[in-house]
Amino acid sequence: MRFGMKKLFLLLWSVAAVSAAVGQPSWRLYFEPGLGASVFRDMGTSPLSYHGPMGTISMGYQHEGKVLVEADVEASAGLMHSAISKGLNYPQVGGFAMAEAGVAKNLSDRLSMRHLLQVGVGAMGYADLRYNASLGNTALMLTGLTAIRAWAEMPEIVGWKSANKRYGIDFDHSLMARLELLPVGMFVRPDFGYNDNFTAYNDDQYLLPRNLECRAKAFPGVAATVGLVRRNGASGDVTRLSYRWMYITTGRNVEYPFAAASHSLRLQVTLMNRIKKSNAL
Amino acid sequence: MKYIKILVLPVMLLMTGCEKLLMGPEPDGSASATFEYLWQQFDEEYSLFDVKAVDWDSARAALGAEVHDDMSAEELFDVCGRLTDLLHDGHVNLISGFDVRHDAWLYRMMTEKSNIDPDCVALHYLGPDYHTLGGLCHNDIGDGVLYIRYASFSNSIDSNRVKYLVDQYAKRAGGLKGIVFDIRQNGGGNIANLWNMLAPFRSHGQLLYTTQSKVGKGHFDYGKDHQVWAYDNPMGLDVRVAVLTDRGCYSAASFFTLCAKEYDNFWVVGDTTGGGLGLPRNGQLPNGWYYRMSVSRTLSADGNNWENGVPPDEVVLLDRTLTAQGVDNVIERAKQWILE
Repeated sequence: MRFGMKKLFLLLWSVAAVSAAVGQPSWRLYFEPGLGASVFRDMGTSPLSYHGPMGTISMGYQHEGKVLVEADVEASAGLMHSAISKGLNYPQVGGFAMAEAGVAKNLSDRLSMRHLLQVGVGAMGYADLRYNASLGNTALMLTGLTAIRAWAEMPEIVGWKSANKRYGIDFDHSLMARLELLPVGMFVRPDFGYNDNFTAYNDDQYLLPRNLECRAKAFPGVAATVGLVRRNGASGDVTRLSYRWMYITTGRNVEYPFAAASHSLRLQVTLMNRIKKSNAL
Repeated sequence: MKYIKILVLPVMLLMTGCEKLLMGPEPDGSASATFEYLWQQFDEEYSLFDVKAVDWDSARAALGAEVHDDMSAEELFDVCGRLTDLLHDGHVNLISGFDVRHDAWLYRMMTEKSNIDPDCVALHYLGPDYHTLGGLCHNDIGDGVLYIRYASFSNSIDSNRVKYLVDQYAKRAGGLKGIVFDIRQNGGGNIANLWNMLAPFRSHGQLLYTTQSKVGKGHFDYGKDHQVWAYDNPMGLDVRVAVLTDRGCYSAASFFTLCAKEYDNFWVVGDTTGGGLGLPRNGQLPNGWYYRMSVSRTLSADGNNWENGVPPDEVVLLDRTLTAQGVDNVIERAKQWILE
C-alpha cells in the first residue's frame, strides 16, 4: 500500500512537473486525508448492515488555465462489524476499499454565472469483504461495484477575507459545496468463498465464475460535500476542511440489493503549487 | 461565518440519518424471523431440489410450528439444523458460535461405507518407505505399477511435479505400466488441484461436465450451461490410471472422479462417491449465524446429475477378510486392469 501511494504521488508529481515545464504555471498538487464512518448492506449475503470507522486518502492535481482541470485519485478503507454481536454468535468483521478518479472543468464563463461552477466526470470502484473466523471457520464474501460519477461544484458560494497581522498574511475564505451523481455503474458479486467442509473435514476453496452477478445498470447514487476553503494570499496554498456524505446502491436493478454509505471529515492541504497571484480570490 | 452555521450543520444532521431511511430497516434477530429467512433463502437459492426428495413447503409448516420467539438459541439451532438436514448435502451447514451443524446421515454414510483400510495401505502398499511429493504419497507396488495416495484435495498438487514423478518411475527398469491413484476418503478441498493433477495426462479437449447456476427464485430456475472441457494435450502422459473411489470422496474428489471417467486412459474402480457436485456459498442469518448451501448443479458429459454420488466404472467393495491378511482387493483389481 505504501509503495502504491508512493507511485501515485510520483505520477501526480510528474504530471505537475510536465505542466510546469510546458509553461502552464497555474497548478497545484494537493493531499487530502480524512476520517469518518461507513455502512454497507449486501442483501445477497446478509440481511444485516455492517458499520464501522473508515479512513480516506486522496491526492489531486488542479490546473487553472482557460479551463480548470482537476484530477484526483482517492482511496478509502474501513473496518466494519455487524450490530449483531450478542451471545455466542460469530464475531463478524468486514472491510471495504474504494478508489475514485475523475476530471473536472470550469464552466462558469460559458454559463455566464456569477459564482464559479465546475463540472466533472469520473469513475469509482467499491469492494467490500467480510471475514469471519471462529472455531476454525472462515468465510469470505466479496462484493464490488463500479460507477461513473458526475459532479458539479461551487468552490466559492460565499467568500470573505481575513488577515494575520503578526505575519502580515492575508487569507481568502470561502464556503464550497459539491453535489455528485452516480448515474450508471456495474455491479459485481463474484461469489468467492473459502470455508471448511464440515462434513468431510476438508477446506473448500472455490470461485464461482458461473455465479458471477455482473450488471451494468443505472444506479441511484449520490454524494454531497460541503467545506470551508482558506487560501493563503501570499503563497497561494489552499487548505480545505470538508464533510462528505456518499450513498450508492444498486436499488432493485440486481437480484439482491446492495447499498453503501459513508460520512467523512477531510482536511485538504496543498503539497505544492504554482498558482498565479492574479488567480487569487 | 453565519453562512457556515446555516448551511453546514443542517446538512450534516440530515445526511447522518439519511442512509438509514434509504436502506430500510434490518430484520429483527428473533427466532421466527431467523427460521423464516433461512427457509426462504434455501427456497430461492438452493440448487439441488431436483435430486433431493424433500417437500420444502411441508418442512416449513412442520418445523416452523416448533419455532417461537421465547425459545433458546440452542433450541432454535436444533430446529434450523433439522430443516437443513433434510437435504442430505455435505455442502449445507448451519454455523453458530456454539456449534456447526452437518448432516449426520451423510457423515455416517461416508464413514460407514469407507472402502479403504488405511493400515493395510500404509503397511502393505505405500509401505514404511513411502515417498512424498507435494500432497502426494507414492511408492512402487511392483510389476511397474506406481501407487499414489492422495488423501485431500486441500493438499497442493503441481502438474510439473506429477509429470516429474511419472517420468522418474518410467525411467526404471521395466518402465511404468500404469498408476493406481487412490482418492478413497478424500473429502475434497481446492478444486484447482483437480486440474493440476489432470493436466499432464493425454487428453483431446473432450467435454468433462456441464455446470448450471441458480439464476432465479424458482426451484428449477437454472442459468445457461457452462461446459468444462479437458485440455487439448495429445502429447501428454500416455499411461493407464486407475482411480480408486469410495463414499468418502466428496466435493472436489467427486469432481475429479467425474472428469476421470471422461479420460481415455483413466478407469474408476471402487464404490460410488459421496457426491457434492454443487458448489457452495455462504450467507448470514438475521440473528448473526451463518449458513452454507449449494448454489449450482453439475451434469456429467452424458447428462446425468450425480450429485448423490458418481458411480465407478466397476464396483469393487473392500473385502475386510483380505485386508486382515494385508491384501487390498480394490488396489489389486486396479493393478489387474493396468496389467491387462
